[in-house]
Amino acid sequence: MATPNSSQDASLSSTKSSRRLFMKAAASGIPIAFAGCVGGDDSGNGNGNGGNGNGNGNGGNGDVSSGNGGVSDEANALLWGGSVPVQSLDPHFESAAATARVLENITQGLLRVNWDYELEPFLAESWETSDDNLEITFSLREDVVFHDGTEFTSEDVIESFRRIDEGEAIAAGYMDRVASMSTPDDYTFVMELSEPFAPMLFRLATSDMHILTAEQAQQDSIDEPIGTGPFQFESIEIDSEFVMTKFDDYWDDDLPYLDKVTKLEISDDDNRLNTFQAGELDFINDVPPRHAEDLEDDPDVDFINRFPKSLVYLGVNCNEEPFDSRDARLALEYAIDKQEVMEAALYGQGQVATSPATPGSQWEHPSLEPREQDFEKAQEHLEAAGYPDGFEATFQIPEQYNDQVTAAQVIEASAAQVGIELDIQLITWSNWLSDVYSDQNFQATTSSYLALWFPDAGFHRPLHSDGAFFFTGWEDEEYNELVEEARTLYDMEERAPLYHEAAEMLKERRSGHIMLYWTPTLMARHNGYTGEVMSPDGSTFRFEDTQLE
Amino acid sequence: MSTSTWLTTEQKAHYGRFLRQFRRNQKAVIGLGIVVSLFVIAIVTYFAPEIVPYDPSATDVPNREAAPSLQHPMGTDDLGRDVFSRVVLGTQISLYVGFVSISAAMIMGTTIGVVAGYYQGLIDESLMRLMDAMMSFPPILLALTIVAVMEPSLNNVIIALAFVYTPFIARVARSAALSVRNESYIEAAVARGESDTYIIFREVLPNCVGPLLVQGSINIAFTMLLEASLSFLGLGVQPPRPSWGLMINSGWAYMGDAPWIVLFPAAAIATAVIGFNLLGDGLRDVLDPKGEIIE
Repeated sequence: MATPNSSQDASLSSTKSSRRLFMKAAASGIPIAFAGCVGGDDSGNGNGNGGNGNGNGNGGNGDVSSGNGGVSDEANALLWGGSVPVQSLDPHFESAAATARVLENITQGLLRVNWDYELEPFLAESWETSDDNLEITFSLREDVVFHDGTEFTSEDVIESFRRIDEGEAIAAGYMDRVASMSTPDDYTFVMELSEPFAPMLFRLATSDMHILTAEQAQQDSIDEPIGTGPFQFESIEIDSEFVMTKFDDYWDDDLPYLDKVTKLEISDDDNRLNTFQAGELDFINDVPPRHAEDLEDDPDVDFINRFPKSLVYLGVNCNEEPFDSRDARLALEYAIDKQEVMEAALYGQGQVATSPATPGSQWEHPSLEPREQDFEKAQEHLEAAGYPDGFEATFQIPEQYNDQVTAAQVIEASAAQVGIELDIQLITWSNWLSDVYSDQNFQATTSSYLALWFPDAGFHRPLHSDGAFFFTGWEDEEYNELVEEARTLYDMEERAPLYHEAAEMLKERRSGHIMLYWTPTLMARHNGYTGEVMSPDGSTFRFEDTQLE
Repeated sequence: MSTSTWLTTEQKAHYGRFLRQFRRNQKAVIGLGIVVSLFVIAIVTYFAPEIVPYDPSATDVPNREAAPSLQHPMGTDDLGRDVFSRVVLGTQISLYVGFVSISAAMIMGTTIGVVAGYYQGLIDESLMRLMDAMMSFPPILLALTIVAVMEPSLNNVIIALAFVYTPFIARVARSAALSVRNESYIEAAVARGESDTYIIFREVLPNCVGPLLVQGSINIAFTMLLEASLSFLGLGVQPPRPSWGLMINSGWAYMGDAPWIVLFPAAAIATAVIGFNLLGDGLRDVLDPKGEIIE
C-alpha cells in the first residue's frame, strides 16, 4: 500500500515493508530517467519513479504559464512552484516528505508543534498524562467537522490509529507501544502505553498519525484523504500539479485566508527560480543556495530562510574494512574541513554540524565543538589504524542531491591530501536505497535526514542499532542503553543531559555518521504575501496563515 | 630500391600516391593537425601532469566561479577548480575513451563483418541480423542501458561504447569483404588451396583497410561525443575526474553567472569532434572516392 514509486526525502520514514515495496518498484523501472536528476536538488527528487521522466524539468512544466494564465487571474489563489512532486496522498503510508508537505494542510493530528518547539493542543483541546506516564487522556475539540461533513469524534481517532497499527503503517512501531485504546465518550480518547514512551506525543503531531474519518480509516488505500484541515483536497495530476481549496467549515473561523493553493511541480531548481522571477509563480521552495543573496537583496521578493531543515552526514560502513577501525574513521574526519564543505555545498547558508541534536534545541550539547581539520592528527590515526600510507574506499553519493555531490568533491580533495583515496560514484536514489541502505553494500556515502523537532529523530532512528534508519553498522551497547533510557523520560530537563552525553559518545567513539552540516529551507514569495508558511520543525508547509494584503 | 626492404616498388608507389592525395586534401590536413595536437597534449600531460598550472581536483571554495583572468585563463568552476587545467587534462580522458572503445569496436566489428562477408550464407544472415538488431536502438539509448545495468565508471563506458559501435564497423567490414570476395585474386588463392585463415588475413583484410579506417576515424568522433553525453547524464566518468561532458554537467546550472565553466569544455568537445570528422572526411575522399562507405 505504501505507494512504491514515491520519491522520498532522505528523511525516509518508511517501515521495512514499505521500503521493500519501494525498491521492487524502483527496480522494475528501467533506470533511464536519470537525465532529469542532473538538476535535482537537496530535497530528494527520487528517480525511482521509473520511466516517467519528470526530471527533465521541462516536460511537465511547460504549461506553467498557459494553463493558469499567470499569477493574478484568481484573487486569493496561491501558485506554488514545488521542488518534489506529490505522489500518493495516504497520510499513514506515504513516507515521501513532499506528501507530508501538502497533507499538513489537509489532515490534522491530535497535537502539533508550535514555534516554541513545544507540543500544543490541536484536535485535542487538552491532554493529561497519568503519574506513571502510562495513560494519556485526550479531550477532543467538539466543534470540528471533516471535509465530507461528518463530525469529528473519538471514534475517528481510534479507527485511524487502528488503521496504522493493523495495516503496518509507517508509525506502526509506535503503535506497538500502545497496550490499549478506549473511547469513554465521543470527545474523550484514552491511550494506554505498555511502558513510558516519551516520543509518542511528538509522533502524534506528525502526518504519519493524522486523523481520518472512521469510514475512510477502513480503507486499505486512500487516494483522496478526508481530513479536518483548513484546506481540502481538490485534484492531483502526478508530476504536474496538485490543487487544494479552502474548507469553508474549518473549525477556526478566521482561517484560512487563501481560497486555493495550486502546487506546480517543477523539479529543476533553476527552472523553478526562473519561472518565479518571470512572475508566473507566487511562491517557491528549495531556492538554490547560491541565489540566496540575490533574492535577499531583491526588493520585490520576500525571501524566507528557515533553519534547520535537515542534517547531512558522511556515513561509513563500520562492519567492513577500512572503516571498521575507529582510527580510520577519525583519520577521515580529521582530513575534512567541514566549514569549507558547508561553504561549498550551501554557499554559507547552513551551519556545521556537531551532533544529531537540532541546533537551538534543548537537547543540543551546550559546548560540544566539531572536529577541526588537522592533517597531522589524521596521519597519526592512519598509522594507528594500520594504514600509514592511507587507503582507498568507494564513496557513493546520491546524485540528485546537488549539495552532497558538491560536498563529496570537496571531501575527496581533502582526504586525498592524507592519502585517503575516495572513489566517488554517483548513484541514483533508488540504488542508494537498495545498495547502500538496505544491503549495506558500501564503504562511504553521504545522506541526510530531516531535523524534526524531537530528539528521537536524530538520536534513535539513524544511530540506535534498532533504529528505523540504522545502516552504518556502528553498534554500541552503552549508547543504545542511554538513548533507550532517554525515551522513557517525559521531562525535557531530565532528558536533555542524556542526549548531551550521547552526543559526546558519538563524537568520541566516532560513530558511523560523521556529521557534516545542517541545511536550511530557502523559500521565496512575491511581496504582498504575509503569514508564516513553514511548520516549526522545518519539514512541512502550513498555508493557513498565508494571506495577500 | 635499396632504402627499404619491406615495401615493394608497387606498394611504395601506392602509398606515395596516397600521401600526395592526402596532402592535397585540405580537410584531411586540418583534421590531422587537430588530432595530432590533441594527442600531443594528452601524451605530454599523461607523463608530466604537473605541466598544467593547477591540480585539477584541488578545490578553492573562496575563489569559486572566478571569471577568466591571468591566473585562471579559463576561470574557475563552482568549487574553485581551475577550468583550464581541467580542460587540458580532459583531453586524456576523451582520447582514451574514444580510442580504446573504437579499437575494441574495430576488432569485434571487423571480425564479425569479414567472417560474415567471406562465408556468406547462414553465418552471414545470423550475424548481420544480430548487428541490425543492435543498430535498431538509438546509440545513446543502448549505451545508457548498458552503463545503467553495469555501473557508471570509465571502463564500463568504454565497454558500452565498443558494443554500440561494433555493428557500424561490422557493416562496413562486411560490405568491403563482400566486394573483395569476388575478386579474381581470391579465386586464385582458393584455387591454390590456401586455408580460409590465410585468405582472410592475407587477402581479404588488407583490402578492407581503407573503408574501415575511414569508418573508424569518423566513429571515434561519435564515441567521444557519446562519452561526453553519458558523463553529462551522470552515467559516465565520475567526479572529480575532469571529463568534458561531466564538466558541462556540473556547470550548466551556472550558465547565467559563470558561462566559462561550460563554454570551454564545450569548445574542447567541438574541436575534437570537428578534428576527427575532418580527418575522416578527408580520408574518405582519398580512399573511397566513389562514396561506398556508410556512416
